Amino acid sequence: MTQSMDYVETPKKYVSDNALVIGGGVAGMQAALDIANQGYKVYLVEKTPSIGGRMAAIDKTFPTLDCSACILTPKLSEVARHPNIELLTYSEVEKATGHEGNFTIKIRRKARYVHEDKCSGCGECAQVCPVEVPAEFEEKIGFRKAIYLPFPQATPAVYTIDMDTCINCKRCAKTCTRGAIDYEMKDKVVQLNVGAIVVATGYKLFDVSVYPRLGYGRYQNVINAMEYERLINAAGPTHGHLIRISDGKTPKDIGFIQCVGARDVNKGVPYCSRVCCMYGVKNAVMAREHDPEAKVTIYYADIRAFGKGFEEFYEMAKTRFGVNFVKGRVGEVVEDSETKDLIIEVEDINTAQLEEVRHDLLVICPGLQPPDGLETIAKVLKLEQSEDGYLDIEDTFSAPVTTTIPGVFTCGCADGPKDIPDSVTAGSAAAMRATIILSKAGAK
Amino acid sequence: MTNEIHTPSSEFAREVASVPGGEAINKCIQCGICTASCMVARASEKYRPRKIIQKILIGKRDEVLRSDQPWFCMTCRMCEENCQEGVSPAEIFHAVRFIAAREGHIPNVFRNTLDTVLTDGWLLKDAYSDFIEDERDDLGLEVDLRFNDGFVKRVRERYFSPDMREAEV
Amino acid sequence: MDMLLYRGCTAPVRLPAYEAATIAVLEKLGVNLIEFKDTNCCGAQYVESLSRNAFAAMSGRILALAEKEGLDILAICGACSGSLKINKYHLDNDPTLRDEVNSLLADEGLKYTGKVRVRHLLQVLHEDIGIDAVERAVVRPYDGIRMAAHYGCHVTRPYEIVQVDDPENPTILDRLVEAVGGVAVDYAGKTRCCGGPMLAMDEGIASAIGRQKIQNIAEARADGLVTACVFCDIQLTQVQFGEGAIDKRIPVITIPQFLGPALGIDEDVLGLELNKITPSDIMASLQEGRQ
Repeated sequence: MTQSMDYVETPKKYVSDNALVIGGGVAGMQAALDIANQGYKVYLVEKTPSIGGRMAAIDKTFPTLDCSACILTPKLSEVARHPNIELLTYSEVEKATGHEGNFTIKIRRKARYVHEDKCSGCGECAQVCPVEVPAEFEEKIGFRKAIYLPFPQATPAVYTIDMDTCINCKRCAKTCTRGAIDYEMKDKVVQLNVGAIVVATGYKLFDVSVYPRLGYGRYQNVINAMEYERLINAAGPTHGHLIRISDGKTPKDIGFIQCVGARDVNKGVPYCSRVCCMYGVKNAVMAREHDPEAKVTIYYADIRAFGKGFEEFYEMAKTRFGVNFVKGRVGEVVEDSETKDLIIEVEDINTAQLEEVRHDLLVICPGLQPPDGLETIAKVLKLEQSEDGYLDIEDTFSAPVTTTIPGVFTCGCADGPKDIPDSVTAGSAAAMRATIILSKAGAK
Repeated sequence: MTNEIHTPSSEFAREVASVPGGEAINKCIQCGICTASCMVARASEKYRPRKIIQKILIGKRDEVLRSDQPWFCMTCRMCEENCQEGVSPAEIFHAVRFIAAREGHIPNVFRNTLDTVLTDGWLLKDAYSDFIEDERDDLGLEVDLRFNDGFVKRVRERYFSPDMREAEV
Repeated sequence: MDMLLYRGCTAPVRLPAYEAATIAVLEKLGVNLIEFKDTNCCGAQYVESLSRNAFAAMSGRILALAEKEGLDILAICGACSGSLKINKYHLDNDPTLRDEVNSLLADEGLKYTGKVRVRHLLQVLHEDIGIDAVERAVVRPYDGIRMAAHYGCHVTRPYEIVQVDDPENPTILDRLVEAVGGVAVDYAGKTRCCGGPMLAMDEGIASAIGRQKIQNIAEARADGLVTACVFCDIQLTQVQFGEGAIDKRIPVITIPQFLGPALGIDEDVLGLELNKITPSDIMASLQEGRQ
């Protein structure tokens, strides 16, 4: 179905050889680098103050147990240094018209109240800022100031003021030796002309507080996988010490609950989220790594270890790392009001025993969801979404990174859950598709 | 429990799936969340909803129909609420009860209570003593409960054979 | 607003106070309950398990009788409410079943076409009257008495059919408790079954289930337990007597009996002295009347 955005059958004129990549996570960065390395200019738009996406927050990746930030940060530098990539962080796509080869895009550059060309990222401003609020990057377990960098390797290394929490004391401006802070800054709308667009908007985790029976949001020692990543991360709020939220003690008996917010017809997510089995196993392995004395159990319906090295990783989790695998979905979680321990009810179907098991920390591994704002992007670009909210693609077999609008491509989790290698692969594929169009711009 | 070798068959599951309430049985992936949600399972060593469904899925027709297990379900629907595949063990056990009842396997308490209801029109005619009548009177409530006992005679005639099996309509 | 009060089999005999309190409280709040004559058992559990057609006929007749009167039905028992609603759903969606039942009803000149609604007491309080209206009608609020709410399985599930409250996180009873000056207490296993339906097959299991619930409520330090179903109320009272029961009994009280005194209704009318575990401690929490 070839339809241009303004629904007028204009002859395809390949006018621009610039590309727009929406989303600065690993897939978007890969796409941007691959396009830029062929000599084309790329505008990389990211709605948060820094590129990096989820990988910046994750501790280790599966199945290799590589340090996520260590793989990511070289890419952050490469993107930042690349002469052909223009980073538009803290920005959002507001309007789009045109067609493949000639899109006109309006981008809103949100006011950071800090000049990008003046800030050196020295951090003196944050040191004097009196306001401390829960940090989104730390999953609200750690804190940041009202003027902040989301994480130390934030790219660009430019501070941002969160005006909702800023009290206007102006200490930061007084401290800054470069005059980078400007409270009068306004949002700026810029217009770009591009030939191809790559959507790489990532994902969010399913909000498991909609399962009252599991106690997330009510019981302090029930956390989700992303909160767990921050707790075990050496750069995280507890410097990598896994602790119970209720009392700061080291947990000795940890349970991981799989298939929550995925494969559930009652909660509108009948699909399998692809990565949770593996990231759950990875998390359990990490728990044993952190504390070989801790008892670690995973409660699952199936272990979907479909990729290269995945089955071996699963075996290793059982044998080398001693993770306990229980086949049975958890029915209910109850809190011991004194110790804040959790008691779960589960049937181990291999033994047909109904068990009440006490854990001192429970980690729920939620399924992936389309991110907030994908609906808006889809509307702006007139992209079709499938029933599950992800971007619809042109054809599963012959055009798996092409959306329903010619000239607009998708990679990473924008069209469905994926792990890091698959996201990066899709990023390169989308880059290729995009540059086919961009290469026509010279030939008119 | 005999040590006979059982030849698996999907016949019984198909039969259950054709009875109202049993439709979703083939969606069961045997994850055990139903048993983990079941208060009867917690209070009783022998009752395991997942196992009953497993027996249906592999075709142990006789064992399931003769068992009193499907009659232990309280229809509290916690299993139904929690089942992620859209299966309702509560509804499946009702379907099994219909099949079992048609073949004469009905626990006595059900048979007897049904008999009472279809005779009196309601459950507690015998229990409605003078003492309780007085209590009602003191509360300003109607003493003559006026339950209809004629309709249930037609229900009995139409839907049940003499030994309380459901008759073919 | 007029409604037909469907008592069911058990309420009139084993819990008449619930019936009386419902009538008094709803009258105070503007709902007039009309006696529903000539009814029959709704068919819950027993008929339900043995014949789908007979179950639909038993409940169907009640629905058709109400249709003849042109009034909606108020059910105070969870099992009755569940039966009537589920059968209404099937009768509305299955023409073959509807024709079958109507052929039986025709002998009495009755017909089911689906005109009337079935409402459970909690729906009437929440949707038709409104919790704000209940709060406004309070003349003697409680002074922070801690009440645990037990909703009942057949009242809240299956949600698609009964549509009373969120079955995983119900709040109507809790909000009513707060509206009259109580403190709603959360406890483990709040949405679990009371065990009542199990009495038929195995009393031991039924008691174990009920006692677990009482145990959880006791651990949450509740002063009382408020109910919205006849069976639940009887069961949760009964398990507190006899072997295995906890030492300090927790008074079990139906929601209209709890709301009544706060609305200025006399305790005699509400049948409070008939409650097997005296709610006197709860009543002691009532503050002085206000104008």
